[in-house]
Amino acid sequence: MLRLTSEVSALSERLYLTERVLEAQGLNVANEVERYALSEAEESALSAERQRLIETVLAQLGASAQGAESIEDDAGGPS
Amino acid sequence: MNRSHDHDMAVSLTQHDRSRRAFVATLRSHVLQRMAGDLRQHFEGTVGPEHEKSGAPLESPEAIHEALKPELPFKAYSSVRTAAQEMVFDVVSDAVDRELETLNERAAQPAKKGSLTLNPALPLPKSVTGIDVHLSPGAYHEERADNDVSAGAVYDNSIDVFAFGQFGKRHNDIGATLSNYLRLKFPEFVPTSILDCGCTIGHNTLPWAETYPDAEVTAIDVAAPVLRYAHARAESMGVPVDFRQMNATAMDLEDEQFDVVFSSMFMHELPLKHIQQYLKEAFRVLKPGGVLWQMELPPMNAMPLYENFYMNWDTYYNNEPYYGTFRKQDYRRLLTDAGFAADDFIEATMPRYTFIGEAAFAESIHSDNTFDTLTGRMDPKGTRWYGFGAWKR
Repeated sequence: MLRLTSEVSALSERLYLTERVLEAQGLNVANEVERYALSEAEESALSAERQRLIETVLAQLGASAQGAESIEDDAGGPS
Repeated sequence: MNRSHDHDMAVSLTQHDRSRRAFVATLRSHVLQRMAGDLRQHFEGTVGPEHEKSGAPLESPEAIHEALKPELPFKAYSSVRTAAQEMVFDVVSDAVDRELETLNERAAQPAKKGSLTLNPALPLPKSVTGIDVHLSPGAYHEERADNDVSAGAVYDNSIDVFAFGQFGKRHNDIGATLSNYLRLKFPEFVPTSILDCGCTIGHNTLPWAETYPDAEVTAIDVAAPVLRYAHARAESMGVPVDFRQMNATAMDLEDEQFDVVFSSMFMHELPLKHIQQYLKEAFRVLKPGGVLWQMELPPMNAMPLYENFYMNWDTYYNNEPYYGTFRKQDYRRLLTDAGFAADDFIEATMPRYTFIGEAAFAESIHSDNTFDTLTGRMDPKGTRWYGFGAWKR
């Protein structure tokens, strides 16, 4: 979770820097993002990406938990 | 900037708000469909058969719960669903907090159409104050400022995320479905006074005023913050409702005052003793010829075994401790104990009115009741609400 947090932090900072660079070029990107109206196709694309992210992350959590269970099984095996 | 709703108590949403809400809504949908499906498959394919083979079949929802608790699909489902539930309130609170002062001022404006009557001396039941129901911090009753509406605003915004659209565009499908069922099934019955008990933000109250525009509609709740919000919301939507702070187990209302007593998703949040008190009060305030008609979770005695286990999850993990006890009751018996006659009991499973429209809904009311995986559960495939009640002859 902390590694994930560090990646989120890094991503946020890159986004911040991107906005500052664009501002320096004369584009108020933060405002433009707030005002941008997504098309139906773009909404669908975002929705699909959200779903993909959730499925990928949860699948990884499931795989990790299964690994932990099999270790417990091994530890409980014949002496 | 986008607004959260199409009424004056809406909040402005930044792109960040919208993204976070969309994520949690998608996560909830994933849990309630994909992960719930995996859990069922695991039970039907592995756990259930193993128990059958061992000569100890699982014959109650509690037994299924115990058998599934150590299993990975159940642990995954429960932990992700609980986390998603907590995230619902987390992702809506920022937008409410930013505008709370404005919302509180707006809600304090004088009434134009309906009314709001609060009772600061009303004791709040421990079943309300002692639990963050639905894992919502402060639930319905917490006051954070003078004239506070934050609990109502959080609730209204949280439905968008919690229900991922399944309650209808104005969160009013339950009220619309039950009121239109009465209108179409009993066209000779034209109520002039309607009471909604446990109304929270009035989202299922307003459809009654729309279905029966000549009726006076009263709505009660014990929690002042949600009532302030409900009143302001109804005012801005131009629908006159008389909102009052009152405990449905001891109503400060005259005998035989209402043609309809309605509630939705209310009883399963009450201890059994309070349910019994409420139903006696409902009988008392109903006029002869009137009807008690309420949307609830379907009773356990009507649902398949696995569905009962699945539905009762909220009892253990969603701070809804009275849920399972309520569903175990014989609903007809609950009403006869309150004074209604057994022969006057009514129940129905109904498709969602605002989703399928008048014509399809009118056809559906003549169908037999269906108790299956879509009954009482939010599902894009086609939720059916369960309603039950009784006429007071």
